Amino acid sequence: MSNIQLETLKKMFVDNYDMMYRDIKLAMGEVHIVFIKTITDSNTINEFIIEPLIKSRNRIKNIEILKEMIWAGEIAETTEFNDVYNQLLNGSAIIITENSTKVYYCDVKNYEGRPIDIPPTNAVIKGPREGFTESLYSNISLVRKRIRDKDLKVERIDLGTKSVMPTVIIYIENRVPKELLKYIKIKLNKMQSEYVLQSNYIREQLETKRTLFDTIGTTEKPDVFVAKIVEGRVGILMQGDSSALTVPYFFVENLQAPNDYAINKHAANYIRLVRWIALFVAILLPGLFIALTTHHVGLLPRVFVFRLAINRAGVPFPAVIEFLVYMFLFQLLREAGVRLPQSIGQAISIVGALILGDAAIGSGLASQVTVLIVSLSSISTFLIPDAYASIIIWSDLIILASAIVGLPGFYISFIVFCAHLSGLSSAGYPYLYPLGTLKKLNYKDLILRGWLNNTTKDIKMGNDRK
Amino acid sequence: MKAKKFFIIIIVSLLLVGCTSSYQDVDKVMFLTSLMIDVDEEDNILLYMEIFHTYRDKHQNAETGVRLVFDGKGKTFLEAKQDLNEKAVFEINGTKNMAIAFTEKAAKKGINEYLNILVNDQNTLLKPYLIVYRGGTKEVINLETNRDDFLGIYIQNLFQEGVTIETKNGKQLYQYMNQRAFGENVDVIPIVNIEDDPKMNFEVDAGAVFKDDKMVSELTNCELRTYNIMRGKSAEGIISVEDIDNKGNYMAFRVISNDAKFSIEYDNKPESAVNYKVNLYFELVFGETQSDVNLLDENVKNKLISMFKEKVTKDCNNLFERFKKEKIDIFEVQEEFMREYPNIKIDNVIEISKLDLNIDVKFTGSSMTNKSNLDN
Repeated sequence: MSNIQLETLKKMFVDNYDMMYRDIKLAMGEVHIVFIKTITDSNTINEFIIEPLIKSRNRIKNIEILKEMIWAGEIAETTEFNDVYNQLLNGSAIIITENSTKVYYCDVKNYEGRPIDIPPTNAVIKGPREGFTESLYSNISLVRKRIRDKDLKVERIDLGTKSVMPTVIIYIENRVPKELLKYIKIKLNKMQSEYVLQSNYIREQLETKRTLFDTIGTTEKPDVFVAKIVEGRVGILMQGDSSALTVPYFFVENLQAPNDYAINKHAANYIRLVRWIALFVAILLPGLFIALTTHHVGLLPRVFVFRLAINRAGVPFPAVIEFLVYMFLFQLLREAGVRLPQSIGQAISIVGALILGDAAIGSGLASQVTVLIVSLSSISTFLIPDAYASIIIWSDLIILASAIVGLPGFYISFIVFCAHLSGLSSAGYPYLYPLGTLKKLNYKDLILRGWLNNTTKDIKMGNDRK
Repeated sequence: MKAKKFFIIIIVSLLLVGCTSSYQDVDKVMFLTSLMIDVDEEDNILLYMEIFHTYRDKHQNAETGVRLVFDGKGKTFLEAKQDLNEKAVFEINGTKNMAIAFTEKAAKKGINEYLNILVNDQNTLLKPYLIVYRGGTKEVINLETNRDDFLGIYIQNLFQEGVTIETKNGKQLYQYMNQRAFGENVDVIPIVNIEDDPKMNFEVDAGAVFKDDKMVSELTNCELRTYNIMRGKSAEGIISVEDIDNKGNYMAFRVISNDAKFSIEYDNKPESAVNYKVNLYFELVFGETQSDVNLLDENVKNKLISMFKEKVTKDCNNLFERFKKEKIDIFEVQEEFMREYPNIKIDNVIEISKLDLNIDVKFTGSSMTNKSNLDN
């Protein structure tokens, strides 16, 4: 029987150079130890499995003694062949014995990975700096380090039909709404992907509507993740991805930053207001500018209009084309800056901002005011990095509508924008929650941050799902 | 649902289709900064538009804005405008117009026709200041002032930032149009003249009295000041009074604030006059004297007040009597009377009116410190 299982494994994993097969003759008969050396700890296998077996080979006359002799953690057994190869792929050492239908395995996994580091996103000046890594165990450890609550639950759900990827959902039992938990479990269980390579697969599964905005939260910072869990949300961690997901995720969270909770409350609130203003500047300023300067110059002060007219004199393109082209150029520069290594990226930014901008104005292809407005709008988007792409695209749409019909177009497109946002939901909760939802909420962290003692209380969302 | 959305988009697009034609790049527009209306000997309307226009200078390789003046002539205002428009490269935008100037001749002939068109034209605003311009149009066309390049900007600054009683009380188009509905349709518009110097500065020279949109009389500079005071308009500025004890010497008072309240009394008897009561209030600061004055002396202070009151009373009475004689109701006595006695119908109330003036003066400022305070 054991030989059949062994042969099946060998056939299944043929052409895998890192598959290791070790046969040991014991008093009870031959034992086969199978493991993948690249994802297991060789020292553990040698010291705690192979060495004890060889040293006591004559004493091991039955399976019970064999289990006693193996010192490598907990030994489990199975009769299902699916379990056998799944365990093998998950870094367990498989022990196959002669004349037995049962297969034994013990966890000796050792994936290569990077150490805990400062995440490149969500940079903070003060406060915790640890970031998640691609190791699930390490990430869970970071969470448990911060929540020492007996109600904290870490439930495992394996995703991927062909390549099983360990994933955990984390929540605090008495705080999380049962409906929310049920919703997430149903959604995850419905996933039919053969391979789930990163957490974005899960995010797309949980999102309900097509939108440019993120309706599922992501973070690389354990302190942020934990804060959301404590508020009563559900967190999802996945092996192989340093981005943790939080559900539900609301629009206002785009305007929150980890640093807000590490600095003086009033200073944090001022910076939040700046971010809100930046949001409106980024989305509305270019459109409003186009509407006013191409359809409604009568509403602008005389000196401003004359100065603008002088600035634009000789520019060969209509203002709207000039705007869209310049905004596109800015995207090119930004993308180049992000993709290139940091040192070259900075050089690109300088070349773009100084040389290209100056050259465009000097050659008469763009006006100074256009460069100013586009730069203002683009810089404002940097204050809301989570919603960067969505803001840029909506801003372009508002520019187009404003250019076609002036202020009516501006108003209509802004109303459409608001309607779109209010029509979104995150795991069944209104995305604009609690703005405009007319529901009672103990949410102390809206536009302004409340006292930290209050913000960590649960947000009691149980009855407010759509 | 999709069909519903589709139809909504189509309907909204159709409703807004008119807006699409209003797209105009700001550098492809000529901005009207002031408008001048004149008439010639054959009663043709002469229209002058001062335009702000931008272009890229090929020699300097830089953007620049220039002042252009277009003229048009026609039997009617619109004909003259069309004649003028034929000379313009781009559409002329009237939303930045800051001044509408009527020559004395045009003002005397009547401005009703122009006002109606200017008010109903969607391309213009009701903000421009109205002036009567006394002088030649050629001087304005070749204008080279030492303050602003544009007549319109200069006129706007003159009245918006005005520092004298005359320049603080400009008349904007909407104010004139509102005034038309009251009383006997009488209003006063500043008369602006070009100073006789090489730089040709503008100055408010006098006030043009309009009745039924025709210039019928004129206020001198001094009368214009008195008129503003009597109407409760801002009179902040200097009022000079001759020292009764030292003839030939003058004292200057600075008006910090002023107010006027009007009321009408009439007993409805044929021989009775309409009593037009005007209560004037002034807050003054002593400005300058050409003779010695002890401001700590209460008697001197009272004398100064009485001198000031006497001067204002005299000026007000003279002005009132003058227009009573001319039968022009610049004080809106008719309107006040109609409001007070709506059931009594009397035409030209000003003819049977007499002015009852009451002046209240308050001296203020550091020069008016009490002697007792100094002793302490």
